[in-house]
Amino acid sequence: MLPEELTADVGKPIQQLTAREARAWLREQYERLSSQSSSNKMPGQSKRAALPEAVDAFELKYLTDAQQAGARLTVKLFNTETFSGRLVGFSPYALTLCLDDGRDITLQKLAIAYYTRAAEATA
Amino acid sequence: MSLGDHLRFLRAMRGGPAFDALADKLNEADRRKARDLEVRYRDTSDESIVRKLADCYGAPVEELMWHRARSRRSLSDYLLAVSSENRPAELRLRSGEVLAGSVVWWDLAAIGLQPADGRPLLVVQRHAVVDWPLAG
Repeated sequence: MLPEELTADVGKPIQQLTAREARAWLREQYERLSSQSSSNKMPGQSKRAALPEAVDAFELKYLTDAQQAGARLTVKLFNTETFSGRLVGFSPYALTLCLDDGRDITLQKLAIAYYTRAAEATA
Repeated sequence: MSLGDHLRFLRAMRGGPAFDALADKLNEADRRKARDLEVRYRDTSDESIVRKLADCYGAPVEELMWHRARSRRSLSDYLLAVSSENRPAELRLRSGEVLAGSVVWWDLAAIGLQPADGRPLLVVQRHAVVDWPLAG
């Protein structure tokens, strides 16, 4: 920001600002910058840089998108059992599907081998 | 699959006892190590604790050592290598099924794998992957 832009934004030369006015202006700028930066983040993304294995943002985004789209998932468990249904909820530890017969089932992630969108055929 | 992931599986298959319930076979320091292995993915194991854990869960020591050689970091290194070289990844699951495809992303819990045959993205749970080429 150029000095003249700063003066226009503040409404007077910064040398004439009182401490209270300066604090209020800085607070406004901080809140503006915070809202701008947070709108570009993925859900769950940390402020600090992190290795891929230290975050769960990709799976979180996949599940958030699937739930918002009312997508059907096919979930295969490690014992090869398979469930298909609409994703109605999830947490870091479980997925909840609404099955075709209307029942809800919660599957623990520890029992899941993999899952995929069910609109197309799965493995 | 890392040792921590395998220990979590073994504990779950035995009804998920709390770490304190293992007090008859593991002292406090050993239980702390076991918790770090499972919960924090921190491999603080040595041969002594691996033997004690094998005894706890009734599993062969060799089985735990095999998993110990397949750390989460090793899987990440493999995923990074195949991604960088535009090669498909091959992941063998606990069920014996082998999944192949391009790695689209990976994170703490899962791997986004795009099969070459046009099927939609598979979200493979890390804890389900027991082996991969050049592991161990």
